[in-house]
Amino acid sequence: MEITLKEKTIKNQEQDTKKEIISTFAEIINDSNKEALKYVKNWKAPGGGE
Amino acid sequence: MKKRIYGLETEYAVIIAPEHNSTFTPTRLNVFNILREVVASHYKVLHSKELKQGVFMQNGGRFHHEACLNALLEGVIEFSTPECTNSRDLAIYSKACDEILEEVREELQEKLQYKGFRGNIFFGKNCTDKKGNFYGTHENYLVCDPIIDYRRFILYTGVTIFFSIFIIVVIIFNLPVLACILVLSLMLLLLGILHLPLRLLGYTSHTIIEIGNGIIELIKIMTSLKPTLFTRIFGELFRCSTILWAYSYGFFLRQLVFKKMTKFLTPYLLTRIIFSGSGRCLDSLPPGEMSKGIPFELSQKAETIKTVCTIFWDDYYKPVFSLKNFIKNPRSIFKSEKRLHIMYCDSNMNEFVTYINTGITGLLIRMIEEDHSFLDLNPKNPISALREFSRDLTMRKQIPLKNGTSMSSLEIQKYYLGEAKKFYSSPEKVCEHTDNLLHIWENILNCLEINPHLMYKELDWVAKKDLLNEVIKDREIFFSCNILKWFKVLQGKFQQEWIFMSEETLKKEIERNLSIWNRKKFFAFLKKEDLTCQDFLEKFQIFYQLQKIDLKYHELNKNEGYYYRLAKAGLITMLSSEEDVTKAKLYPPHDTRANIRGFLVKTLAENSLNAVIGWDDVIISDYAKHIYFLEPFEKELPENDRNYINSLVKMEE
Repeated sequence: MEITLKEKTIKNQEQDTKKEIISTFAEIINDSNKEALKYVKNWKAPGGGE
Repeated sequence: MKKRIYGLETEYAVIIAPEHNSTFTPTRLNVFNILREVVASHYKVLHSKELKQGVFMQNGGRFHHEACLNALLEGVIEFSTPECTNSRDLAIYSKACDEILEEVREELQEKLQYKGFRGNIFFGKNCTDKKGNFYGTHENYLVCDPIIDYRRFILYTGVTIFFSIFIIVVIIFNLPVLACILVLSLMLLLLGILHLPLRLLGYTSHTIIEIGNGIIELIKIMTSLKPTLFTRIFGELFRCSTILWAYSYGFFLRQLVFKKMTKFLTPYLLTRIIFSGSGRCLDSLPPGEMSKGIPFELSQKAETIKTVCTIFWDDYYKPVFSLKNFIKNPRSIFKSEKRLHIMYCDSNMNEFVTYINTGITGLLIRMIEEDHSFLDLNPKNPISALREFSRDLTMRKQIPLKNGTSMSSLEIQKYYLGEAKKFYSSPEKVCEHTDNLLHIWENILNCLEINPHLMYKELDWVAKKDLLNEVIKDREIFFSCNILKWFKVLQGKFQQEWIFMSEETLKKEIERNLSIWNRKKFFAFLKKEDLTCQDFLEKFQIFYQLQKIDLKYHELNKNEGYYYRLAKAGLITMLSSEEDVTKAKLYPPHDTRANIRGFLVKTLAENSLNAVIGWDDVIISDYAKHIYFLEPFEKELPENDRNYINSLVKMEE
């Protein structure tokens, strides 16, 4: 975090266009489309905490 | 600089996803019991002396099973970090808890497979399961809150009166239960006494035998019922009978303890969600509301908070600050150093958020302890303001305050930052840790003001929102409150493959699966919203894709969870190295009493000595020895106790 805002903006923009970043996002979006309903239905925490 | 104790309690959801051929589906309690065995085979552990079947680990932390009274066989797994003296250590120990769970997951799954379970088990670190259950993280701070003399007198009297009332209430509540048990036992005894001589005389009284059979049947039915039903009934009865007492006691305590803390910390806690929120894709909207794009809010737990400060007694009435520990440990009310328990805190995947979140809270607590003069920026209605802050992604919406003005969440945060910078500018107060936290805080607020996307590597909600945006991209999509309602109604009936059906087949499927009443209502709704079945299903699919991202971001599986996938691609700012986390799994913090606990757990477990341990004491049952370590900053056992433990080890050898 020892960088200025301007530097951070430039760094983020550079990062966003990197190939591996784009492919990670694409992978995640692709995975999220598979059996989404089933996944959400399975995520249960009955009697959960606090 | 004055030292402080920091602690974090995190509840993890246990996700059980059985496959079709699974012959056994474990309860969450089953999972916890096996998990405890597996963890014990990797690390040294000692049973906790408190209820909840927990164990303390060699790093000084604890994990246990946490469940509501109405569902004791289910629930969540809670890890508590050992006591730390700074937020960096705290974040690393919290990360170590995540890693321990993930490390033992496969072995746990294998053990369940022996019992017939087929499928997946994994853990989630978030705050809601989208089915109305909420869990999450709580923060604990040791704060200085001395009691002034006259208040001390009121407290003594009040606590005595309230506890006497509690005992009376509990006895009254238990009377019918006790009476039932007594009557049943007497009836059985009477039956036994009468039955035998009559049988010997060859006389069988039909009535007596009938009654006897009836009682036996009744007992059989009672014992065959699921224990959850009993706990549910008794849990609800207990809650209803004591709730009034709990809230009036909470009201009484609120007048005397943490007055300054709650007054000056509340505006900060309600608005810190702009960086500490873990983000949530909403599954419902207030009546008449329409969401343009993704229905999203900053904090997962904002919806559950119903009050600022009280005793947390009822799941439906969660406070920001909980005073519950004063019931368990009423003596601590009179101490000048007390445990401040903050219930309102989202579970964060990113350890960097945990670090700044707890670190900044620690800085502000110190300012309040030292009587720094703050403006009173409490919102007119803190609970509705919290909802507004959470839904306001621009962070600029003006919320009316008690002092007659209005401010946005970003402005309130900037005010607190300004005050902290002033306070910590004096040379005797500044230190590297403080300086770093203030610098990061300022940087975050500036970035959020310009463009939140700048913080995608650091903040959970921003990273998640970026992923969700990727699903929608440039498409214009709307979700009305009514469509979300129908999504919920139809969730159980809809099948994944319906997405690919033609409009006609789809209509038939819907007709086949809905009742006449619902079918009529559903088609009327489609007409009103000018949607075809296909449109509805398309939105349905997008909506559940968004919901999946919202949940899977928090999955602890390193190959599957989206947070970890982003981290692997270098898209997350890491606070700790692998070495730090490995060390935190094995060793306690060296500067608190967790060091003593860690030593005791390791030594006693290694030598198989029969003992149970708590946060501030250990009982070695084999030798009837009770050792206390009450002081939070005490790092070593007194010499005589240490020698005693060493002598036990020698004897065992």
